[in-house]
Amino acid sequence: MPFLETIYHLRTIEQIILYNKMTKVLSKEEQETILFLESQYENEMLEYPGQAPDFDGEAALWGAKTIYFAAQLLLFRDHKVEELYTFLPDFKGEIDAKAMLSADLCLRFLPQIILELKRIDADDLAIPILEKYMAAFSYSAIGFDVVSETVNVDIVFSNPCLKQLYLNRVVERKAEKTALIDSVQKELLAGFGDYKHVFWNEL
Amino acid sequence: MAEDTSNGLKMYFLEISKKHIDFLGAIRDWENVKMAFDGEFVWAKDFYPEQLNAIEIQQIPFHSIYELKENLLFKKGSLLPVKKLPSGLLWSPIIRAIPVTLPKFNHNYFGIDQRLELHLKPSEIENEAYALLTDYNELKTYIETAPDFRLKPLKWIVVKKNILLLGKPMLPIKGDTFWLKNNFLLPAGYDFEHSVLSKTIEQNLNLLGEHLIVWNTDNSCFKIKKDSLKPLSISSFRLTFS
Repeated sequence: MPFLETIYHLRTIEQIILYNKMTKVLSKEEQETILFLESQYENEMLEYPGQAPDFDGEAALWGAKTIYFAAQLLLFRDHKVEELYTFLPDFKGEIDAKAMLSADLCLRFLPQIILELKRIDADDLAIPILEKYMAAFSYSAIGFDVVSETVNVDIVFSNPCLKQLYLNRVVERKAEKTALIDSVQKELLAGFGDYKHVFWNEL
Repeated sequence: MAEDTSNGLKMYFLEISKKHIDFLGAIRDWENVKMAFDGEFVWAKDFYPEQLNAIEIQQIPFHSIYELKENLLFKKGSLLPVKKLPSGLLWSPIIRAIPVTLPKFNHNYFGIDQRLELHLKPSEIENEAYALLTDYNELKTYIETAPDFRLKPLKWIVVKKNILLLGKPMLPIKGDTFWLKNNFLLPAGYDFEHSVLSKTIEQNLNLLGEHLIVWNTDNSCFKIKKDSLKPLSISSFRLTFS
């Protein structure tokens, strides 16, 4: 099961290892991957503040596939440009808190792949597609300049758990551009209390 | 730290009759204080502001404290000068000015049965709190929605029915605070009655430095092994109490 193996390595040792070349993922393997990602999500849930949103299998699988084919595209370019969308399809479901957190299991590694794609060829047509996904799943994109500042924080802030996780990641990655968005900055300062100089003096 | 009148800081002097010099033994370990002899009197200066109000000073009988303004000495709080500061005083650190005389060694004395009881006493010197003893419910309501950057700098341990949090900055929750002195956690606002002995006490209680010793205001204490402290996180809290 090459797809599951790749995702397993990504989640456990944070490395991408590819075992095949641009082949379709079988539906049996998809199911196994969703189960694996669900167990990963349950582990991470322990660290989530408040009531964590439910796991969204579809979004998690979509995130895994997106990163899988994005990594493949780094190496293999035998296909035509028109075929890019067949490998990197849009997310069909609704992008809400649970979709954003479930997809983030794998999508959090995507910015590094985009940077690598840019390094090889800045005009690569796969880049705008992936950047569009990053803009939609803004939680995964925090701190990487792959997305412009037009982040829509409304979806993020509609769920208290995701909102806190979002703020945590902004601080952890010192994502200044995101931190300077008015609503985000207000929440951050509230979280720092009297200790802004300890946590993030420059903000 | 000599305080300079030119900086607008007040300079205080303590005067005591030479026959009562033994009472100064209580402040002999204040390294900043200097002392000089002048005929029948003894003078001390260079106090920190907080030391002037300390219990050690208040307990010294027959002493007077003067404030120096334009080379005239005013009784503390008084507007009338009392006298001039004697000139030509020879100042030396108090610890050298009052040497300790050890009792003569007694060759016929064989038992060492004296015991020193350890007490804490309120202290005037401010120390920043380092630990917080709180209970489960207090922490739970806070931690469930806490930002992780507030938890990361902290360590924690469960102590009987309470929870001890260590590190700065502290969480904004209710509890008793402690400050860190060597490996002792002393209640905020308290210090050992014999502060100089803290190194010796530590050597007796905690030779290898593996423990933190937490003191209560009733002079009881308990030990915590340092390597049983865990980093504080939401999952650590949830897994402990699930």
